[in-house]
Parts: sequence; structure tokens; C-alpha cells
Amino acid sequence: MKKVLLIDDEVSFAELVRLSLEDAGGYIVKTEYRGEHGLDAIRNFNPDIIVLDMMMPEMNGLEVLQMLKTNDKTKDIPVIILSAVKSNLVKRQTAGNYNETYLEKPITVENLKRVIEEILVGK
Amino acid sequence: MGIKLKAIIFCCFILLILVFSFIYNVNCLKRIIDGGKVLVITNQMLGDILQARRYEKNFILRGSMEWAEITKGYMRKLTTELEGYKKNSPAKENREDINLLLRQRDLYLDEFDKYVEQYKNSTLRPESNILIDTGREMERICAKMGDKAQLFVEHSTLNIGRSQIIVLIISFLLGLTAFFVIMRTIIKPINGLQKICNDITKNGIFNSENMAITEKQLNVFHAKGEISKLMQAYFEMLLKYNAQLKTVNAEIQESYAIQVVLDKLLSLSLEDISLEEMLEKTLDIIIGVPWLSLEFKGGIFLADNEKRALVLKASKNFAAPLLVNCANVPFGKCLCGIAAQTGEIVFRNKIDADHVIGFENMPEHGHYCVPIKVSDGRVIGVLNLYIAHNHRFGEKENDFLLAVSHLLVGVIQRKKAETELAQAYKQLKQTQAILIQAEKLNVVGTLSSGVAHEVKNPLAIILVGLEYLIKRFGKQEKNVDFVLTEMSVALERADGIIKGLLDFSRVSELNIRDNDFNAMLEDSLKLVKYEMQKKKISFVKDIQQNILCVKFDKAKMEQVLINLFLNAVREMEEGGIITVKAYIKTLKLGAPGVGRRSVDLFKAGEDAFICEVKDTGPGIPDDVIDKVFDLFFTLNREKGGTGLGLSIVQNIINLHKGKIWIANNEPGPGACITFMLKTEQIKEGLR
Repeated sequence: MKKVLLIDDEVSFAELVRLSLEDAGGYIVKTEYRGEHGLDAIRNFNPDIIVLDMMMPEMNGLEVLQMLKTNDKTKDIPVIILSAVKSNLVKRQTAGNYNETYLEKPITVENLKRVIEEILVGK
Repeated sequence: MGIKLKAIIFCCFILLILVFSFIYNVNCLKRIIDGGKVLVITNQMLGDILQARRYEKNFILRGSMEWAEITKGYMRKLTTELEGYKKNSPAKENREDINLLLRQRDLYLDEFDKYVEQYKNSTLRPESNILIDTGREMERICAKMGDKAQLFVEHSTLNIGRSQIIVLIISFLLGLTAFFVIMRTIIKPINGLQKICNDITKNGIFNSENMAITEKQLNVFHAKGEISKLMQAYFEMLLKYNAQLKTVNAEIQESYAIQVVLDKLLSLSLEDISLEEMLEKTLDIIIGVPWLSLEFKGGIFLADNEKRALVLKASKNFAAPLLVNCANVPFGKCLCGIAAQTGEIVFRNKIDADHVIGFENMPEHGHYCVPIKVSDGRVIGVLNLYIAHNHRFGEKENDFLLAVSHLLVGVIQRKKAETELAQAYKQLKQTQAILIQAEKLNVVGTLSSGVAHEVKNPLAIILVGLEYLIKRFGKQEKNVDFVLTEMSVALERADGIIKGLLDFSRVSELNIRDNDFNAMLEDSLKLVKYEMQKKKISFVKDIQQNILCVKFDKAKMEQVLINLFLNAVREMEEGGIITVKAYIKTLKLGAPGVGRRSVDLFKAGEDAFICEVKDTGPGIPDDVIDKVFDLFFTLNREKGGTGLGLSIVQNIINLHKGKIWIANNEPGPGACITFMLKTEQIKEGLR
């Protein structure tokens, strides 16, 4: 079972994705709706992969990503960044420092699953 | 003789007649009065004589001495009266009567004394016959004197009447003479004058036949009368005035003809024609003026003051070699060049040393080269006109051509200003359209960037939800699967629009770097490969070899090509062809977006990078071809067109300071979108 941590302020979206992934089987999904909560959850949940929304109130995706990548314990966890704006723009914002995968909303769960599989297999 | 003298003489004559008549009449009246007095005296004398005789008879019959004394007393009274008669009647014929009467009185007194003596001395009555006869004779003489006096009075009275009749006749004759004189010297010339004046009033001075007749008949008026002189002076004045009027009229006609030409030239400037056409027409008008001795050929040059040369803009019947040789004439060269340099009219009536531009066997001719000079002395052109060999210089021609040149200054400058104004207006309209479009796009961009993010999240939720539902229930019920799938497709379409709007809103800044155009083209092709293969569309690439590295924003230019390819794919049926042609070209005037002014993005003569994307689709209907770049304009909404693709493309090209346009292929089918970029960006990138 692959553990996926999904951090997105859009509760409905997060819950729907969780439902879809768990329904598909092979995934344990934990959802968090705020960046700082997400960071806290990592310690207990210990996810294989993190799906992170970019645009969130207070601590945004970019800040969460920086925290993750500057912490030795979490820096190796792969992150999929979700954004409502075009992925290459987000990539430019992060200056492509972290070699993460970028997906543009709206996404299909099929596509998300494919990307997760590719990353975890590669890892 | 003057009419004044005539009138004086006439008046003197009348006065003389009246004076004579007056004196004569006074004389007659005096004689009548004298005659009357004489008649009275005569009657008294006759009375005395009769009294004397009565008493004499009584004396004779009765012999009383008293009566004799009375008789004698009457005789004495007669004597006194005779003295008075003598005084009042000095006429000679009466003197004889008086003398006769005096003798008879003396005789009577003698006889009476004798008779008295005899009577005294005798008792018998003496013989008294002699006495009686003498008395009778005295009585007869006195009666005769009375008759004479009466006759004299009658005669004098008659003379007064006669003199009045004579005066009347003379006055009548004088009046008649005056009438004829007045008729001849005043009325007749005045009537003649009146007739001529009426004729002039009716027919005008030039058509008046009387003018000629009067001239012939002026001798008739050459009489010496004042009115005749007046007439003569009047007609001489009229003839002179007529001659002057004819001269003035001729001058007016000439001025009018000039005015007509100048008017025609002025009205040309109001016509909606180009400067060149206007100059051609101007030339036609000037060389067609009938009273100007010009040959039917000539030319108009405009000055290029920077190059100090004249450029032939309009010509009429120029010999073929001259069209080439005179196309550009430097200031100072040949006659036109001299006119341009000096700013003065150049007149030559033969080919001389100054006429340096020509050709073999050039026929003899002359020229007027008239500079078209503005008020600050700058020459803006030259009017070249042909005249016959040995043509004589004409002051009027010169003046006219000068006037024409002054007029042409205004006309040419106005036309130039008009053209520039029209171009500026066109440019302004274009700029305004671009600004409006930019503003529109700006609004759309601002709105979409704000809204898109908010819309995208719900879209994402619905899409994931739909996907979940299709998986869970789609397999159970066919219709549920169909409905949910359709909803997903619609959702993706909505997402496409949002994406487009976001793309659109982001087209505001460029990240220009050296890019390999060819590689970028290949990358773009990869992204549309799937769509192209699906419709079996083939691709033809024709890239000029030296275009390898070009400066542009790669991501945005990629988007341009992808949008253009996707558009083409959507438009075409299966088996279509997309052709991309890219090259560097030296621009010519008249090409889209190419001008001469500073505001024009592309200038004639400079190099530009041009890329053509051609398809074999149905092309764009002519009535909407101008709208294809408008935001949300699409011909294929049912095929998924959002009307954003070409707007984004245009925006990106505009940001690159380029130019984009669309045209249907000739021959068809299909359309071609061409975009053009500045070469500075390209040349720097050339390897």
C-alpha cells in the first residue's frame, strides 16, 4: 500500500481525490487542508509521496515545499505540485530547484495515479 | 456765331423795334394832342368869325355902332386865337392858311372900317358885298383849317394803329426766325443726342449702329452752335471712351481667361486625386491655354531639397529619351536646374549651351522654365514648358506663368498636406483600433486572471467527481456512463477556455533569448503531432538556410506556432497539408505594414524575418477575414474553437513588434497566416 499525503485547501477536491484513489485500491491517502498541518502530519503518517497544492492561504505550497526540501528527514520524499495556473509558470516560480513534478488543475485521478506510479517506480 | 451773341443781338433788335415803335407812337400821340388843340382853336375861331359876321349883319341891318364894336371885338379875339394857333401848329401847310386868314382878317377889318365910315357918312346903306365875301372867305378858310386839323388827328391815330401792326408782324417774324434757329441749333441736336442715347441704352455701346453713323455725320454737327459743339464733344468723348472701353474690355477678357485657368487649377486641388494625377491635369490645363503660345508638351518637376535635385512627376509628350534623362535633374543642370537654383524664370527661344540635357536630332525649340517657389524662397518644383523656336518673350505670358507658379505652390503644398493628413489619420485610426483592442484585451486579461483560478478549482472538483462516478456507476448503466462522459467533455471544454484566457492574460512580457527557430518549430510540431496524425495531415517545411538562430521568446513563439497548427488542423479535412515557410526578405513599399514614416514599424528597403503558415482548408470568407484576430471570434465553435487562439497569436507578435496578417491562398484552397519580425532580432541571432 502506498501512502499519499494530499495537502490542498480545497476540502471537496482533496476528499474526492482521496475517495477516488482509495477506491482504486493500493493507496492510503491522508488529506490536510493547510500547509502547516501537512508538515505536522508527515511525522506521524510518513508518506511515500506528497501531493501539494500551490495556492493555499497562510502557508502556500511553495513555502511548504521549501520546508520539506530543507529538512533532511523529508527532503527525499517526492512531491507532486498541483496548481490551477499553468504548470510551467509555477515551475518558473520555484526556479526548478527541486526537480518536482507539476500538474495543472483540473486533473484526472487516472493521470494522477499514472504520475504517482511513474515516480514511485523510478524511485 | 455763338448762341449767346445771337440771343443778345436778337434781344437788341427787339428792344430797338420797341423803342422805335414807342417814339413813333409818342410822336403820333403828340400830334393828335396838337391836332386836337388846333381843332379846338379852329372851332373857337370859326365861332368868333360867325359871331363877328352875325353882329356885322346886325350892324348892316340896324346900323348900331355898338354892334360894330362887338364885331370888331370878335375880330380882335380871333387875332389872339390865331396867335395861339400859330404856337400850337407849327406845320408849314397851316402857316399859309393862317397867313391867308390873317390877310382876309386884315382885308375884312379894312372893309368893315370902310363900311363903317361910309355908313356914318351916308344915310343910305352902303354896298356890303365885299365885306360879306371877305367874311365868307374867312369863314371858309377857318372851316378848311378845322377840317385839316381833324384830318391830321385822324391820320395820326391811324399811324399809331399801323405802327402796332408793323411791330406785331416784325415780332412774329422774329419769333419765327428764333424758332427755326432754336430748332436747328438746340432741338435738332438734342433730339439726335436723345436718339443716340436711347439707342445706346437699348443696344449697348458696342452694338450701337449710330456710333458709326454719328461718326459719319459728325460734320452735320460741325456747325458753330454751342449745342453742336457739345454734341461734337460728347460724341468725340463717346468714341474715345468706346475705344478705351474696347481696350479695357479686351484686358478684362484676357484677365477672365487667366482667371478661368487659375480657377481650374485651384479646383483641381479640391479633387480627390493623387498629387501626381493633379500635376498631370495641371500640365494639361496650362499647355492647353489657347492664348498662350505654348507647344503642346511640357513637364512638372518636384524638388528633392535634400538631394538638391528635381524629380520629374508629370510630363506631356516628352520625347522618350527625355523621360529617362530628365527623371532626375540636379539643381543647376540644364534649364530646369538653373530655374530651380536661381529661383527665376528661365526663358530660352532656342537650344543654347545651357540646354545640356537632350538627344540626337532634337528638334529646335525653346523653353519657359518656371520655378515653383514658396514664400521663404525655397524652390519646391519647376514647371517646364515648350515654346516654338525664335518665339518672342511675352511680358503677359511671363506674368501669367508667374501667377500659375504662385498658385501651384499653394496647390502642391495643400495636396502634400492633405496626403500626409490622410496618412496620419489612417495611422491614427489604426493606432486607435490597436489601442482599443489592447484595452479590450487588457480588460479581458485582468478579468480572466482573477477569475480563472477561482473557476479552475471547482472545475477540478467536478472533474474528479465525474471521473469517480463514471468508474463507480458507468459500467452498471450505459446511459449513466454516456451522460457522465458528456459532462466530462463539456467540463474539459470549459477548462480549455479558462486556459486560453489565462494564456491571454499572461501575454504581457517577453523573455527574449537566442533561439533556434528550426528546433522550436520541431518542438511545436511534437506537441501537435497526435492531432495531425489523427487527421492524416502532412507537414511541409521550407526554411531558408541561414535562419538558424533567432531572438524571440521561445515559449510564446511556440504557443504561436501551436495555435496556428491547431487552427489549421481543425479547419482541414483528412489528408490536408500544412506548409511552413520562413525566410528573410528585403521589404518593398506597398507590402503590408511597410511604410516610409517614422511611425511605420517596417521601412521599405530593410530586411525582415517572415514566416508563412499555409493550410489547405476551406479558407476564410471574405466578409469576416478582417475579424479573425478579434477576441472570441471563431468560425468553428462546434469544433471546439474558442476564438482565443488567433488573438493570443496576434498579441504575441505585437509584443515582438512584428506584424501579422491573414489571406486566402491564391489559387485556393486554404488560407495563409504570415507574420513578420524585425531583423535586428534576427540578424543578431544569425550564426
